[in-house]
Amino acid sequence: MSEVLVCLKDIHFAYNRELVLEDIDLHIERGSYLGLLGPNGSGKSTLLKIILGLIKPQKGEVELFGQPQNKFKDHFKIGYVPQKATQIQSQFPISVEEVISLTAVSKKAAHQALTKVGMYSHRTRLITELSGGEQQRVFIAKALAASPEILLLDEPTVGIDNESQKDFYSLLRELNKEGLTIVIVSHDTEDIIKEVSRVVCVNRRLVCHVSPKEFIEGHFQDELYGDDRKKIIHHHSHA
Amino acid sequence: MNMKKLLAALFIVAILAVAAVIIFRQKISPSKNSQNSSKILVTSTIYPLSQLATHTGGDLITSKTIVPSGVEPHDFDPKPQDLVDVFESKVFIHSGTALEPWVEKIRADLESRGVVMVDASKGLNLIKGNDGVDPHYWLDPVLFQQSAITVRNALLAADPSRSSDYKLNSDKFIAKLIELDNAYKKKLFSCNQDTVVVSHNVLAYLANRYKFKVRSITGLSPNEEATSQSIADTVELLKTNNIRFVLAESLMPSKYADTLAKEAAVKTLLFNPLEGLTKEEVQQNADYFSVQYFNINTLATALECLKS
Amino acid sequence: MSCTATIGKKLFIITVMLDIFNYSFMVRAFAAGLVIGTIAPLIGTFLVARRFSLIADTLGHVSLAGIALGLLLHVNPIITAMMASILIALVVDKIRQNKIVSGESALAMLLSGGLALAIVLVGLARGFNVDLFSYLFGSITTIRSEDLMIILPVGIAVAITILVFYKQLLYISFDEDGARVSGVNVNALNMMLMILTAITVSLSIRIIGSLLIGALLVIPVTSASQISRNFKQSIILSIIFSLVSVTIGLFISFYANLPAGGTVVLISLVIFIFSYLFRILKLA
Repeated sequence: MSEVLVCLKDIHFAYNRELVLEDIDLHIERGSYLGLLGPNGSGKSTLLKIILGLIKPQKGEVELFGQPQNKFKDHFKIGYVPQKATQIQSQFPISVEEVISLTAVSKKAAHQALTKVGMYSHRTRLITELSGGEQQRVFIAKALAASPEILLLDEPTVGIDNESQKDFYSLLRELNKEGLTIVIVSHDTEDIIKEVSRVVCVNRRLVCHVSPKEFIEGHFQDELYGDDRKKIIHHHSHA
Repeated sequence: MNMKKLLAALFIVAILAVAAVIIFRQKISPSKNSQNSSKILVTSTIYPLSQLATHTGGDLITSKTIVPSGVEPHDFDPKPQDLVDVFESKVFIHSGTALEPWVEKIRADLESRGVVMVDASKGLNLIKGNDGVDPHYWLDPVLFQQSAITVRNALLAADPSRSSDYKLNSDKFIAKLIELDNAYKKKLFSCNQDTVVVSHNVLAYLANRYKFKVRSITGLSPNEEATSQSIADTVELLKTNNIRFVLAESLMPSKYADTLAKEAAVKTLLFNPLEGLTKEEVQQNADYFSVQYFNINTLATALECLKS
Repeated sequence: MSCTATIGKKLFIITVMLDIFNYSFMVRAFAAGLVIGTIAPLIGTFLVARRFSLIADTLGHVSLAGIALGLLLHVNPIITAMMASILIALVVDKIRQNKIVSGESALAMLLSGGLALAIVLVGLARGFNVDLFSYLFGSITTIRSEDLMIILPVGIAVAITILVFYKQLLYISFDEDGARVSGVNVNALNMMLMILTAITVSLSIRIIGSLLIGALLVIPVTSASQISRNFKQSIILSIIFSLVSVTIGLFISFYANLPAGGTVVLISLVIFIFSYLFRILKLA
């Protein structure tokens, strides 16, 4: 039985009197590669933020590495790659290596993280001069520079071109092989189910927690997306 | 690499700018360099005080007024070259009231430079009201004689080589002040009205000395906004006493006098509280005395005094 | 670089010979100007990065109310200004956290509120020694030694604090969520940044006036970000630009008898134009 890194018990969260998440129980085991799926507004990003401690649920408990969230001190163990939309304003002058230095414990760690994502040669460039895919790699490197044990990514493929997406997924595969636990929130169902080892579906409630094969074969997609499913699948095949 | 070039360029521009300003400067501050080394420089904060200097020192001194005519002394903030003038002077005359808030701030500097600070109100009992000390004492020719003596003593101490000249001028000056006092008394001796209505309260000392009453719409500071109550009360007074004239100050906009003039069928007369000179007065080579004689006429008209 | 050494030497000689420095008030003005010229862009860098530049003007107007209060109570106005702006800075931080009203409208209301309060207090203070104008527009000629005794040590303290917390401040300015996840005490740092801004604004009012204070915190920073290649460079460059503006501004203000606040800001705008052109032309 693998070590449980993240444990969510009975999570409820409401925003402006609207229930966003209800009755969520979830264990994330070390070494897993988990896809968090759901339609827009399903609460999946919110769930990620609750794990990260950015949002406090009204009800329920979060345990990180066996400790209650408010007592958890080893922040470096958790790596976070935010959604691209929350990105940098134009003309915020910060270079790639300065971004990495925010989390890196040493120059060596920074060097290694940048090399891992293939951005070492770009370290003196301004982050605003990079393409979407390059920026994302920098953010991944920033998360890696602290030597995390779990990496959480929020909609990482939004606005990334296909070529970069392929590289991105192969990087994640490599990291997971090396032992990094990964949780990835995405609405890119088709691509995700090809990469992850577990699928968690959220649409206000926990709809499924299965292997990708079971996800495809089960009727989870209907329950998850309702009529949107057909639209989404068609959209992806034309993407 | 490009950064360094830009920096170097900026640096050079900065140095050139400084150099240009230094060269430029030689042409824009003649007073310092052309100061005749034998005449002492006397600076005064406001116009009436510089009159003390001019009437006592005459051509034997260089006199400078710091607050320009038309600028409200209360709001005046000295520019760097103004302070340079004060710092370079031997004697610096100020009113000793809250009219020049910047004076206290430079006292320590002036003392360490050996500039003699002269308080023109020394020895005078100033009128204190709700708004603070009334600074307009220079309008009272009797009080001003004391100021003249104070300034004379300062000049004697600062420039002993010319003491006989200063003494002579000062005596003449004081004689003229006595003459002025007599003229006031005579002209305002017998009047039909006992109250003068004026925009802001510049007349307290004259009213005290020459026994008439003053109603002012605002207090001591011309920057105050008058309350509508105050204006209403004043209109009431104008009508009750059948007052036909209202006084406005020559260098200030006359909005309250104008308001009153519309409400109560009165005429506006100009009065110069001597904080500065108007352009016309400058062209006419006016001085303390010519303006005061003008003021006497204004007051005589406002109080409807009988010609004597 | 022996080139810079000889330029430096010549500058030193010129400086000593110029009589601008014979006058104690100008020496004090330069001392205050150099301190403020250093900490203003230092703080401003973080404010601009977080799109919070308006806070400087807001606190400037609020400081006016603090100054009016100080003049009314015969307390050193700089101290009451600091207290008022620190108070409002904390209020703004709370509002921002709880999202009661949008940050922008909150600032706009506080800006006019502060000014309105100042006007009323000045009205109450009529007859007292009200030299409010010099606080609106700045007055380098009346900086006293007592003012320097506050400006110098407090300014140095502000600079040291920012250097000590540099990395965390950069983190929360760049990626507040990421900082929170990394365990940075975001709320405490935000509060600290607000307090430091309030202090910097209050200190700067003497020289540059409360109307223009926003300019000194923002313009050199924007100029620097046109051409810097990283954050550290941006800070250093913005300080250089600011110091150049202050120095040239004070020189011109002295020799040409012009108001220092306006001159300094105009020069910093000229520098901005140059750096903007430099960026545009470099791309061509």
